Amino acid sequence: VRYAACLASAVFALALQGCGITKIDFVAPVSSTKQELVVWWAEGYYPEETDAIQLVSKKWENLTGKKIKIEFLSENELNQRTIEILQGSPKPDLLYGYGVGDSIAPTLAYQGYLVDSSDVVRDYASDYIPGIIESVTFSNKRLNKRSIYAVPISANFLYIHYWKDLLDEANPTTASIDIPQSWGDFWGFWGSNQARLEKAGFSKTKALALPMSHAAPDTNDVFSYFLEAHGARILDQSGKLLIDEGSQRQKIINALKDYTDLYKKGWVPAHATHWSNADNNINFLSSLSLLTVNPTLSIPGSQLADSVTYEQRIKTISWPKGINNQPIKPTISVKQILIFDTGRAVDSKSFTRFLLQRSNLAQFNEGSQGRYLPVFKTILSDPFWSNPRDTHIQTAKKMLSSFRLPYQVINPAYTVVVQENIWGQAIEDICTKNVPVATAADDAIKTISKIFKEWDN
Amino acid sequence: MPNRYRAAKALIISISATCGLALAIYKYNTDIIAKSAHKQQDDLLSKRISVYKQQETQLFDSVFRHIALPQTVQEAESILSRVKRLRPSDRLDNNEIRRQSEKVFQKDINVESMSLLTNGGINVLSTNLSLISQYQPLENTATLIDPLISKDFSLTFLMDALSRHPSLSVVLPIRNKVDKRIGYYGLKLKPSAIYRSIRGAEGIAVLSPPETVNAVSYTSANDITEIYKPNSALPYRPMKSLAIINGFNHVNGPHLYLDHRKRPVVGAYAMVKSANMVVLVEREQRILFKREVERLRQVLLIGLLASFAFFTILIRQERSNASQGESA
Repeated sequence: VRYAACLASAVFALALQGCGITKIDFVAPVSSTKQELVVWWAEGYYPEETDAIQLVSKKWENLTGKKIKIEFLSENELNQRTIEILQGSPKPDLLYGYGVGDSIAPTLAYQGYLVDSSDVVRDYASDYIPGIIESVTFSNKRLNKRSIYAVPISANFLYIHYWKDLLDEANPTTASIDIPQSWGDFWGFWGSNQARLEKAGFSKTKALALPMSHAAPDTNDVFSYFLEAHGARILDQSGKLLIDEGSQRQKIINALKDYTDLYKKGWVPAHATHWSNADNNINFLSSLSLLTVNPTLSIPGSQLADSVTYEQRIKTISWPKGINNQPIKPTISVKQILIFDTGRAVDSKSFTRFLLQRSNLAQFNEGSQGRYLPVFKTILSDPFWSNPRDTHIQTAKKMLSSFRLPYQVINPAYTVVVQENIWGQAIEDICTKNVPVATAADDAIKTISKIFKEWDN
Repeated sequence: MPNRYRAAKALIISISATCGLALAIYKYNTDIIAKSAHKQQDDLLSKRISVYKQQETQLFDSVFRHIALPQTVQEAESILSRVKRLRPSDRLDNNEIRRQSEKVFQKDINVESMSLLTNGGINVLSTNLSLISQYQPLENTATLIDPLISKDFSLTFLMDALSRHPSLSVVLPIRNKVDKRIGYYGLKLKPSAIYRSIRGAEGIAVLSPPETVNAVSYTSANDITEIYKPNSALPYRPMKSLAIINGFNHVNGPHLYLDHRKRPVVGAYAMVKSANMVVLVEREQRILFKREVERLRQVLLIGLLASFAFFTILIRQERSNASQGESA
């Protein structure tokens, strides 16, 4: 009976198998061989950036006989993968990303993931713009020292752009329009021009494309300039948190009120509370706002091929003076190469040194079409960066003469504040939930204090 | 062996033989039907794709010809070189826009809208007024087709954030006499027209039983969905099936599989590279194999009844033999 039952089962199974539903096969990821230098590189905004780094890597391969495997990743994916390194995920030998320097690099250095790159940077120390090397000098908890844990290759600030022709439309009878330089008058000027534009028939155009959302890391960056304008200090030079002090708290409240008032006055598009980083670019370039603030020169850069717009319609201007009538020190954002302790530091440093050779780095810097500034004095004096007609690059260059370091360089705990966009959350809460400014400021201060306490533990 | 076991063994063998035979016949017949159905669907798929490709070629040939016309280039250059450009103003002069549009854009072309864009991707003129002055990132949300570089292009569908429908934008460079790119000629294609050219191509007979034709495409890095739904109230949901995955990977997989709703189907599918789109012609196995399923049921029923009848006879016979043995 048992044999007969088995026979029956087999017949059924064979017959049913004939229905032939095949399974879905997924492709397994391909891992690199240990012979190659594994590089994660941020995908260029312009093809020239990617082309330049591919060319440099080919030349290095020919020169050394070694192999390099460059994986070009989107900015989001690169950030995600870099964060996952801290959770034990695989790491590359070398990494370059636009946002990692501000958000993760100091933490990677602090936790001992990065190789000391002093020897590479020191070789070029005389060519680096003053202050650049300090911006990649991070703490290492294990070795209990500060050292150079990244190699700077470009930099950017936050730039102010406006539509000159649209401003002319708002002021048809004015021959020369003076933009005020004092803090309050500067922002008020754009607000009053929104009203003028409305009268001229541009009812859809708002004064200011400023991000007001927690989702946009740009909100944190723009607000850091407002903190600076109000003289608010988050950390002292030793990295100690200052925000518990009464005077600093009041300055933070003033900066938050100042920033969110622009939204509450109706000068900022209503949906700016839901923006991602790209949305202020699109809003501004679509003429739905008169002015915007943006990290990198990507906005004029996108119009480079249209000389009318690049040269005559969009203008880039310096930041106004702070409320104490002193110039604002812009916060520098340095784009840097990170070398990981994978046992291939010699090759990683060899490739980095090769990229830092003047002609190679100059080509890479130019590939960014001005989106990022060079950090070498000799490259900055090249004709590409010295064209007096290019007012965007000339305005950006001026900011390299005096800047301040991001807080996360002084204390890596601040990377968590940046990553969690604590200021962005406070701003969104004030704008969307009508949370009182003082309450939102106190919540942010409490959260930042907690982050620093947990970091120390 | 006891007599009662002998009867049970006979029953199992009989049922197995009946089921095995019935299923073997079913499988043989459905294999023949499926192969023939697949061949019909494959032929139909080729015809429908060929109709689409023909329409696509006609459309782009006419656009390429138009943007190379000296008067088109001259008008475009004149509009694009002005510092004062159209803005999203309440005072847009519709008559002036219409006049300019007539000079630059084609007539008798079945697209949603036509636009003139700067080299920086800003719409300076459009048949859709709401697009005027809108920024359209050229490398991210539209497909740039440069006839000087290659005609072997691919279109990219994207989910329109406002309408929540897949949208298809194309930009083609306009070059002046010295071969300098002065701007772009933008087209917003109609996914509905593509859908109709694939689904309802005239002169192509519908199969019996009728087939389902679907055209799907990536609308973001990870989502695949229909390019068009005739019922606009239905949302565009991500779709996945073996055929869709094989189609996008150019793999010739089996023709019997589960469709995106997990229904067993006989299917033919192919990728249309120029539109980054997979076209599927599918028919449900439930309908195609209906007669075979009926026949299987009948054979099984008769076989099972016969087996049980045989079993009953054997049991009775064994009981009668047993009672005769006891009385003897």
